[in-house]
Amino acid sequence: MGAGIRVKNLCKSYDKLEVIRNWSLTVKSSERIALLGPSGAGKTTFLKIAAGLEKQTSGEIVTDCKRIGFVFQEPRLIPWRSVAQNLKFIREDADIENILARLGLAGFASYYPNQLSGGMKQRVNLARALINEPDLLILDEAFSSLDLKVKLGIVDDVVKQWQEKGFTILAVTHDLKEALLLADRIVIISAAPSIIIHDLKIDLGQARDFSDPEFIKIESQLLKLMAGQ
Amino acid sequence: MILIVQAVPVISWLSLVIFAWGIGWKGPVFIAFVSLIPMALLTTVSGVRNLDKNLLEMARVYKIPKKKVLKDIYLGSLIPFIIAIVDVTLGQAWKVILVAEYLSGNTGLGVQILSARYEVNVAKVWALTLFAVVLGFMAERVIKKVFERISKKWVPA
Repeated sequence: MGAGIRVKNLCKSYDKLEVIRNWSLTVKSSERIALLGPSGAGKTTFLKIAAGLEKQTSGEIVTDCKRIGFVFQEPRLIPWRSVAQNLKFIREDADIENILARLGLAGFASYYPNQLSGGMKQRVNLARALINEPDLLILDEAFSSLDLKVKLGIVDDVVKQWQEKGFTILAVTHDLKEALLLADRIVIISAAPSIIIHDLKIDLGQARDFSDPEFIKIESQLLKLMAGQ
Repeated sequence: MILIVQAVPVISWLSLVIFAWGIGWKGPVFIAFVSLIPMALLTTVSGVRNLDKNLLEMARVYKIPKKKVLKDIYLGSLIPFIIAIVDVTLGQAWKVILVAEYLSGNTGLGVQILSARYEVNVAKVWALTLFAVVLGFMAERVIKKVFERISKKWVPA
């Protein structure tokens, strides 16, 4: 089961710089939400507040989340620890071989981060999040630095894991395709001080293909919405 | 405080040590310690400041116990700095100890060199110097090897 999140009148400022203004949002258990918006609009700040890394200035955020999996934008792997040790850092009793095999990293347990490609490091970053058995998976522009093929592969892995485990997904991305492949709901926010300007349900079924006419239609509708912000 | 300790000349320490403990083994040990500890501390502090904050944030998200964070992140980040400290202080410690023995010790190589000087025995001074160089070189190699073995756990292949 996934975690639920209720956000009410959430505001965040850094000194005089107002970043988030009055966000209200309810995320149901096992829902997949993608946040889209310009840089500096407070998307990552919101994820950090949801993960308990930062405090909001006012408003409230209530969640029944017990375990978080956070896939950071940069892999944040411990350089002097092997892949297996990086995963064991999160959970000593983790079934490392199993998770690595599921993410296409079988045989790489003893490798060090500097011996892996960017895509592989991000997979380890994802493996580390999944090994924590999260009820909330946070993706902070997790695949933005990867090429399209690698990105599609990892998004597919995330969707498969979601189907199996049913965790809630909270993703921030700049890539509309990635958001549409990943989410049931897309929340579009304005520039800072950001407000939620659109909260849209995405009806594309489970198996998604970005060459599907319906996918392209929704994508262009969203592009128009975002351009008209 | 550290900067003040660092600024005190070795000669002043020597005089103070002789007043406090007289001639003996305590003086050279103390002087080696106060001469080298400021540099070791300052280097360690700059190591802690250079720590990757992203790794610490990752550990916070996953609620990793403090002990584990200290062992796996802090110690690993500090290893290059500790290696640099050992590298620099080993060579210096040896020389500082010899000077301290020479001026305030009652035993040791420094004292032997002093007595050779009194005897105007140039050959003995050369021989002791050569012995000091060889001993210093060997000690440095042995300690470095031991250290490399210990720190291997924190250095990627």
